[in-house]
Amino acid sequence: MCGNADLPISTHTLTSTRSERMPFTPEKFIQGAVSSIKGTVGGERAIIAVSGGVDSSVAAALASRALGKSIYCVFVDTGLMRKDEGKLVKAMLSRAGVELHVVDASADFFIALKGVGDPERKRKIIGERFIRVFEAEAKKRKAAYLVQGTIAPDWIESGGGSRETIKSHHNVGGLPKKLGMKLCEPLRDLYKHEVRITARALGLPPEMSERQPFPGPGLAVRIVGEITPEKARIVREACAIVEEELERAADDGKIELPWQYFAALLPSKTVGVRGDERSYQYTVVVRAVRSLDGMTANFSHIPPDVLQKISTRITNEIREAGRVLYDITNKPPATVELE
Amino acid sequence: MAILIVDMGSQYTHVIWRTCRDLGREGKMVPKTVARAELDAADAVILSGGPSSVTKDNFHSLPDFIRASKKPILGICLGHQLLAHTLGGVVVKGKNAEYGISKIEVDAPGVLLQGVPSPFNAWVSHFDEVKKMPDGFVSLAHSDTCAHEAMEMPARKLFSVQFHPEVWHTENGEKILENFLKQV
Repeated sequence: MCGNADLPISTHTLTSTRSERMPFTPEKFIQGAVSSIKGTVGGERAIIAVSGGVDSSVAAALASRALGKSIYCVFVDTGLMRKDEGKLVKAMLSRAGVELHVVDASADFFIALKGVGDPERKRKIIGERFIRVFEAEAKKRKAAYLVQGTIAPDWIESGGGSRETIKSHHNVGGLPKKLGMKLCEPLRDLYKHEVRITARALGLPPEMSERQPFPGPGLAVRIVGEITPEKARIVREACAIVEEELERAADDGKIELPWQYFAALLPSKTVGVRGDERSYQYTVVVRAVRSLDGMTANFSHIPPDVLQKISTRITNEIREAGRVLYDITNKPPATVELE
Repeated sequence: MAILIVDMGSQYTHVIWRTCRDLGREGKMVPKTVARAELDAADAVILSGGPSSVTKDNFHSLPDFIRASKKPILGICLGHQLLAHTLGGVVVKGKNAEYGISKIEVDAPGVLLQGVPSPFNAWVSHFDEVKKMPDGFVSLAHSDTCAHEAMEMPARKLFSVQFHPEVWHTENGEKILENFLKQV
């Protein structure tokens, strides 16, 4: 009735029978969230952290209903975004009636992350960089509150109490201890599929409500180990190829579009031969998973011809990519992202 | 009254809460330090999984409650092991760990696995396992690596599973939780 990793992918869909009884009613949730935001923020000003993903877009839409025109949406360009992400998000949100204020902090992020290879340190540095930008914006706007699209897996995986830290999500475990603002997180009890239901009920366009998840730290967690602008460029190109090819395969009816799909870069190089010359280049991992809520996931069963196309394009179009692997690990024991 | 969901540090405690809600039952999440009085006042108790081990960790009022309770209790993963350990069974580190997908073979459906086909795919995430069940329990299912994937003692309304019925990837997970909630 719900997941079955042994079944061919075409025989089941993410909506499954679970949705038939699901008492998650977006209207009730929206009503509660709007009044809770009003109650929390009150007469104060708020800035909204917007990444272009469905979570923060829904948080922004709810804040806009609750607080009216006074909301101020901030998008931070970390330099670790997907290809054309900034432009795309700005256009998408403007069609949805949200005015976005873009802050280019990419130089700051690269400097802060230089030489850092440990994934938890990377996540904490990123969390702190984000907050410093938001604090500066809040100060300019005299805002006391930061509205974030934090959802349940973010705080669950960030750990605390008897729960282990699996990874510090930048918006929870990555927050610095001293915060110059108060937080308002209307989606804390929601999972991705519930956020999507809410997005549809709020009338957000499908390009936003159905958008695949993208981690807050961006490509930083898709570069295993130390980040360099070169590695960021490689993984950005590889991600774009994976997205294009899997979306095309889904359009052609060859696969069900995975829940999340991307490329990651390993720090190790391997040997190859190109045009009779020896090569020694990076290893790219292709990851595509099927999930409902991101808490458990199975690797997508992608047909070999689709994988072959991806592999050929990555190794041909990206000089520095010498080998392509497909990640066949479920969650657990792996997580969806590599770091 | 609500169903108490005791959070022993599982990744899925909140998912148990969500799934109970999806099944139309109100749950309340409480930490494992929950007071005995609150446990006694609940309609039913679900013990979550968690990263610790039954032999190493402190479970506060839970063991006494488990020994005395007449309320329906469902143990999941670490909760399953805690039921076994508390009532005289043996929990050990398994020969092999089980993470991700596992094929569960139903040996006797009993109350908890009533109406569940065999085999079915469940999602697991554990190293420790119940080696010997406490007296009075019936083993309901096994996998290749784990002899007691589910067990119960219906006379005392005690039920437990080593796998995670609450996660979306576990087939029949809702059915299993529903079977338990019917005992409430």
